[in-house]
Amino acid sequence: MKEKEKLKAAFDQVRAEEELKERTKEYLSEKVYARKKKRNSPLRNFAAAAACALLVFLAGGSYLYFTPTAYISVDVNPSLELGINRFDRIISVTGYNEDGKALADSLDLKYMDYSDALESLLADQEMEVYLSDNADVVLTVAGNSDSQNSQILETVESCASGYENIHCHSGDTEEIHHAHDAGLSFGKYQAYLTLKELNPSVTLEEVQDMTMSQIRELIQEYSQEDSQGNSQGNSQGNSRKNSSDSTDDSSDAAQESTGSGDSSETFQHGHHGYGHKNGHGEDD
Amino acid sequence: MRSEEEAGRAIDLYGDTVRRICMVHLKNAADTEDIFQTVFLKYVLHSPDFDSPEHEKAWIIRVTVNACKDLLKSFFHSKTLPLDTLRAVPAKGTEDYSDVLEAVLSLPAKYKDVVYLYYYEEYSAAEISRILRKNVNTVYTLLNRARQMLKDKLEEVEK
Repeated sequence: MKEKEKLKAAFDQVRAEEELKERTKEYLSEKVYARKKKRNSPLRNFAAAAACALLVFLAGGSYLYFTPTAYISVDVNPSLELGINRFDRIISVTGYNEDGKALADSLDLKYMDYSDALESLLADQEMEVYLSDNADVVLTVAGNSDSQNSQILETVESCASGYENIHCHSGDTEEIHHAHDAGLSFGKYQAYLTLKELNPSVTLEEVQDMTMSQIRELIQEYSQEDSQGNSQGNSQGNSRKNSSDSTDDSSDAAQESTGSGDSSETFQHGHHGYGHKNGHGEDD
Repeated sequence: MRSEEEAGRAIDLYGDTVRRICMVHLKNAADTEDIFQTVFLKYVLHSPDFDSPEHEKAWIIRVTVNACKDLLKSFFHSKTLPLDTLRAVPAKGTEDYSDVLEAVLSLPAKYKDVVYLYYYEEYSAAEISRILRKNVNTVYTLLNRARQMLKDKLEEVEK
């Protein structure tokens, strides 16, 4: 028994030092609870959730904001196209020819409401130069949603009501893509399509450099010719058309003969190759 | 996962026990601190509830003994010798029991736990056998041999 008490007393001497306990507690709070505390903090959770929500909101919002849903194409001589988002704000101004690009650079229409933008565009000094000599202005509206489309068209028409020589049209988005592929603004592309129907020999390049007034004059001319041709007999109309075709052809031929550029040469080669192939086909 | 308050309570409550087991097995303060951290980290991460305070204490003892064994088994320990070897016995205390402690420390490792648990914590042989996962008779044998060795050693000192 004495032995046992001795042992007990001896072991009793040994105690965990306060310092050791403290350090262990510190270690635990550092290693385990520091992380846990942060994770469990409701403010922190809320902040994280809010940040995520904000991010999603911003991404979605900017997507909605920066996606054009409708276009207004302004064509005089300069071709301009205004991209409009679903909040009726202008988010892009693109010029489709030299004049248009210059005009787009000089104007500051971005993020304006489109009706304000149109008004300031029509009242702009640089624009006045083009409007002054009674040039035709064509405003074309195209968009994904019919409701927005008609709404914009209405606004545009009311905007244009103060001017005599402004014409308004509407179109659909598919044509816009074709127009952009062709490098034309939408309004001009539509005009080009009408012109092409009347006169198939018209090329994109020709149209690109024409003012809208010129194009409209041409359209008027051709449509009058057509109606005349229909009423007076086909022969005359055909002959006139042929003559215009032949002049075109001759000019093409002249270009080919005089042209020493590579492009024309390859073009000629292409022709020959095509002919050969045909010949073989007939032989077989 | 246990709360920080619970961990603090366990450290205050079982710190001495853990410290003594460490003293029995280990020779320096740094290792003891390692064991403290290991044991109480395990305690904090140990989710299931204990049936009773006794159960909890037994769990702590078991974890501490195993942690000490693991530490001693590790390559680093078997191949290196710390600078502060043999500074294990605290020089405080009014009466000098250092010879008793030294006698316990000089026992082979397998006897030390049994001696400590039997004499100080006053567990019965059956309880010790459960805590250390040993056969009851093995515990009795260990105890008897340890007692004999201690007696020899203490007599030697007294002479």
